[in-house]
Amino acid sequence: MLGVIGAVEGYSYAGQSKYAPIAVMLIATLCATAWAAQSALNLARGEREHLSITKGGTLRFLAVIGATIIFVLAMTYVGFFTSVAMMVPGLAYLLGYRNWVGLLIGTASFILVLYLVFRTLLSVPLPNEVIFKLFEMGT
Amino acid sequence: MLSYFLEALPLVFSFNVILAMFTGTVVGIAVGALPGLSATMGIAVLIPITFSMQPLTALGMIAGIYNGAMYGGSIPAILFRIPGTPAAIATVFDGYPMAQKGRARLALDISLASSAIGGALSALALLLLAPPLAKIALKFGPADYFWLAIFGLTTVVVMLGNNISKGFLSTCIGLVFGMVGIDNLTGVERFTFDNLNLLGGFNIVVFLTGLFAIPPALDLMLGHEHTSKQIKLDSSHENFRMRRLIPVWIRSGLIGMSTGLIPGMGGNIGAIIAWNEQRRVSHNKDEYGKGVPEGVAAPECANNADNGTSLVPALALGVPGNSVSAVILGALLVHGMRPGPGLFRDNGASVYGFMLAMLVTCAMLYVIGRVGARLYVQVLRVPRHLLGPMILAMTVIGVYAIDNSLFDVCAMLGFGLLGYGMEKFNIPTAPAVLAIILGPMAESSFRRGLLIGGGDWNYYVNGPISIVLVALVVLVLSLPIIRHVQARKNKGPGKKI
Repeated sequence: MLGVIGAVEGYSYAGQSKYAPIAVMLIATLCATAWAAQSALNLARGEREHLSITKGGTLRFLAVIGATIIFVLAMTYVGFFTSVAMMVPGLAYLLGYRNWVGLLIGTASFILVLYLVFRTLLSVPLPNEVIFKLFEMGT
Repeated sequence: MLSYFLEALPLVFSFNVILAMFTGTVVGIAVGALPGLSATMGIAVLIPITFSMQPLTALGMIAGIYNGAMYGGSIPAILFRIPGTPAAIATVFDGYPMAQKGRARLALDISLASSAIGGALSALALLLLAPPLAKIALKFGPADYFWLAIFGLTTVVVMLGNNISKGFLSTCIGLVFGMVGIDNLTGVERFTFDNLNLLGGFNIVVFLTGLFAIPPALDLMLGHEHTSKQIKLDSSHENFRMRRLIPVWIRSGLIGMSTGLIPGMGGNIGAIIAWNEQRRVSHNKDEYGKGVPEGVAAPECANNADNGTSLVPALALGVPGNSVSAVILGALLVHGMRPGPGLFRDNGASVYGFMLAMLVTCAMLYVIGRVGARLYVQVLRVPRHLLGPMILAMTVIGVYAIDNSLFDVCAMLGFGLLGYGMEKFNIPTAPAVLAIILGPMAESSFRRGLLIGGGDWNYYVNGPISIVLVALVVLVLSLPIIRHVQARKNKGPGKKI
């Protein structure tokens, strides 16, 4: 379906710009159709490729996706290092890692390395840390 | 050639580059030692970080990671029967039985020496083969480049997987993402959907990082937590004459170097072939798989011997043969170097410096591996559920650092999910990555050919190079049919069910 829609979209481009999109999308459609036919044939023969989906696995997957979205959004508002300090131990805990000392030492050393590499060594401009601003306002 | 070599020599031995190579090798061994993480992933995470470094410093670090990771993969293969990287699968055959017999230290020593020698041989081959090939490539016209790109794409698809349709589907995915943005030749916007962020197309590093770094991180996070038991290695080295492995290193080195030159083959296939070949020529075949030192030396030498040669077509022609060289090609692009015949002319010192760095890091690998063996064994105890979020954060900061763009970060995460989905459906990701690099090259060469040839299709099969490449493409495409026919013959009519 996507291949056909892409080919139609490609057809709307002017001049030689349309050749590659149309060709690629049609080849993709053919490949997807061949794959679907192979799968149907395998199913008919009783040969299935097993894709195991468990409830625990799905929950963990959703936790990772949710934490990643929050992390990326939080990065712009609270700053990169603060959001890392929340995401790394939070996500590890959600995934089942319960060693508090490991969480604390691991996260702290990771942030220290990131700070040394990106701020001190490479001077990469990263989103400002809100926590530092709050300290400045307090003093 | 010699002038570039002499110019590169002091640069490689400058403090910054040595430090970068050292760091890269240390990180590379750790990355390789962690099951699920590979050299490709390590370099993909690193490229954005090296963005603000001098090109040779960045390339030195990449060379260290590449060589280091290939050796690192043997550590869990020998100690736990878990190959750290796909290239270390064959190391398990004899490495683990050696560890069970209490000879883990010797197995690791052999693996280290074999990796360093394989890598050094390959780096020398790279230094000798790439520049002449680049000179030949200067004679290539648009039609030749078009067929070269098609050859690269078809070979990878055919060599990589059993399912050709999935391979080509992956190629198409890469080609489509490579087309996004303004068409350089006509100025037409393609697949941008009026989104300003898409006008310039996807940054190749964003695509590479997403596809290669996020899926292993997800696997780490979604898998069950298991940290390895405390392992202690004997501090004493067994009295073993490494000299007896020289014939093994020569044979396996040649196998590894040859497989590196063939697109789609790579270290894992080379290592298995080398182990098989070693067993075939041995007088005590039955001992293989039970803990023979030669059974460790052969695959480890072969999987490092493909490192340099796999970069020959990537550097000289701009055609990456495997996913690691595709990622390295991305790194060169990030640092303003255009792979292909012009690379040696325009960035001679940096390219020769990189090739020398591949050689120097092999020596570093030996020293670091020897000194830090016991430390690297402890890397296996790092909790997976803590490491996964860390890799995620590293990729986010790395990609953000390129253009300070949140759009790039989101795109990278999207590509990561796409890559994860592809892996789950057994769709290989390497063809997609090669396609995003080779697609624009194929398209622009094809259209230039149309212009030069005045619309005459014969132009594409006029030159001798084009004819050879077309023949190779036909040969590669007919391989699955030949394999199928052979398989049916082997089954025989009487064996049909």
